[in-house]
Amino acid sequence: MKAAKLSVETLKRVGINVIFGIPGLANMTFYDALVDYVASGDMRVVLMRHEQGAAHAADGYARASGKPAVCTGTSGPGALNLVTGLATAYWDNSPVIAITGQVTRSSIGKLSFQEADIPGVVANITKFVIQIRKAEDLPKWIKAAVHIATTGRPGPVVIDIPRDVFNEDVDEGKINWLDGFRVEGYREFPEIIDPSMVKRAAELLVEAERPLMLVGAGAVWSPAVEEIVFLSQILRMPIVSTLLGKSAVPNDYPLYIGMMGYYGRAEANKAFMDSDVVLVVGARLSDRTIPNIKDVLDTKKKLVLINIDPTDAYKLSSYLPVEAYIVADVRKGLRTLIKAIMEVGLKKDRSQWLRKVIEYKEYYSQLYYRDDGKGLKPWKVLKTIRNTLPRDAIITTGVGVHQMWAGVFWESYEPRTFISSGGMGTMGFGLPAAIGAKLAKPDKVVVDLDGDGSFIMTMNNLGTAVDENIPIIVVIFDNRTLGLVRQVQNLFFNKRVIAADLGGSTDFVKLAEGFGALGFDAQSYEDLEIALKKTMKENVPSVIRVPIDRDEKALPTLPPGGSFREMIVYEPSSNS
Amino acid sequence: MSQVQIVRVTGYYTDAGFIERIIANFRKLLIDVDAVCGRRVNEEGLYEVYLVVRSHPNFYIAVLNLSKTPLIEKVEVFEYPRASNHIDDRCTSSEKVFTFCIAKPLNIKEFTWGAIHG
Repeated sequence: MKAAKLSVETLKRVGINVIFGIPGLANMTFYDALVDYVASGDMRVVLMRHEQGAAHAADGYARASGKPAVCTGTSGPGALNLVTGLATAYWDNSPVIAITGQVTRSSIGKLSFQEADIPGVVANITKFVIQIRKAEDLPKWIKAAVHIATTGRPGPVVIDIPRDVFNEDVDEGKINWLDGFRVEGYREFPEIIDPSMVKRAAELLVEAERPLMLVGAGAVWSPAVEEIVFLSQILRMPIVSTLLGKSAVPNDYPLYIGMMGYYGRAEANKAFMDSDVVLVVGARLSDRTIPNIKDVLDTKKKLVLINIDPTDAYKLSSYLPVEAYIVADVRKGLRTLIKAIMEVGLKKDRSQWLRKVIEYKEYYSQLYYRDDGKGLKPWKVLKTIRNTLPRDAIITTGVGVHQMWAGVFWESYEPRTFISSGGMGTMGFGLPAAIGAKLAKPDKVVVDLDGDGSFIMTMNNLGTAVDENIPIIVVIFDNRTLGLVRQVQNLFFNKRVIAADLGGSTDFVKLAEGFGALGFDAQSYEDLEIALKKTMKENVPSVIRVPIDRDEKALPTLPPGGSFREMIVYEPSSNS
Repeated sequence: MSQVQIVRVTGYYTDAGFIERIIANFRKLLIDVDAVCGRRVNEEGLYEVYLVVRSHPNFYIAVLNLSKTPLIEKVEVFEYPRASNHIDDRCTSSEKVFTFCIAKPLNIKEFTWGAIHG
């Protein structure tokens, strides 16, 4: 059997059936082997328009499905173009597997045509990389890649395969499919469930006057909706989330306050500041969630952690007041904690705390939901979309001011229905991620909430959506500017706006039509609703352009490095 | 003399990127490496690598990150009663390229995938 076929056969055996990528010289034999698998229906090959899009599409597939997903590129520029997408997947713990073509073994290291040192390039932006030297090792490392990518803290893995390895013949009788093998030097995280620590966690939460639960992406990956809601109900404990943790709990659950953090909802940040004990569930407490650790230290709150990664518990304990932790998958950790809490017994009423949180919600709602009738308001655009889409629709986002509006105003109701580039903040993520998510969940409506600046970065992949009949919907919040850049320059650089405004020349409707998609120009909320209904009915790729005033800001926000005490909730002089 | 820490990393070699990965863990956290010394331990590809790195507030973050790096079996941090015991003076006349003499540690703390012993 040719090694290229061995690669594809192994991928099939580990459950991979979609590959996003672009062929070239170095991975041509791999693609040649795919021909038969595509013909038999075992594999789908999606030709992306740029490898960055391939990595994001695989990422979107993985996040929507919870399963590993594969992207590929040829050697040199093809593989290098994957890099941004791989870093994005690494920062957000997404199990993407990249199969990169490489020049022949005899050419490696000799500045050969389309050669790049991919293992060297990606070593620090992926969970693992391996360069294959012998064809018979392929099954082992492909299986290892899936295992490493999906276990513990998930993350991207790269398998770099020289062209001549793909071409090698492997004796079929000698192929070791390695059922039940183990990767030396790799293991899943140990569970650390110390009964005294669990008891301490339970007591802290039971005794707390103002407990709060913070849910992160780990709670989405687990997932643990029932446990989160049950614990919140029995302790009467409000919930806030990180950006990536938004879909860990139904956002219309009455005790869910919203996303907290740098661009988080004011009431969520206020509740965090007021809380005395915070149960952190599947979140690593990045500088985006807690921009200034003084907000934790000065308020003398106590933290209880549930996290699958023990090193997070140790690292966070070194500078934050972590009183107890459970190292386990979120669902198991929560079940353990719930059991311990039931044994300790419920003591507090907490109606005052809940009243306060509700008062915050009501107070800040008056500031958010304003409409002077001049132009379309982001919150109302999102409300219109939400009211039009089915409850289980999947949202992806680009990165920028529209992403922050989505973080604040979008309501997710089911796990894996809010997909965004959180840690890396990669512009251009939304469209290709939507393509991946739609292939993972073809029965769900998938909408990319994008900005004009972000969409333009990977819009070439709209051609893929059209040609491959992947009916995604793109809604562009078109403010003709790099909104967050402009906002920061306005607020913190003395209004010295530079290199932010994009000009008005690009026609997104014509652009969509040029790619063969439907294009809509929504000048009103009614237009938007009609366009959404039409595109869902037609079930074809579509772009809906929504004009937004370029001075609409992503609020609340903080000054760079600022505290939640310095939140800027609204502009008194602003119309919005 | 700058304060240093001595670390022993044990892991499975696949290619020389194994060594790069170890060094990068410190580099990424702004920690300087004063010395590195490693060798193959067995025919299964198990390696041990000794490093002398500058003391730094990020040191334990680097150790924890390294301890959860694929192919890394464990990371051991050597502890001494006094800082001056780090380098064994009797080693001064030895071959310095691959011989790496250190004083017998008082204790060895082992980090392996979040499990800490010692």
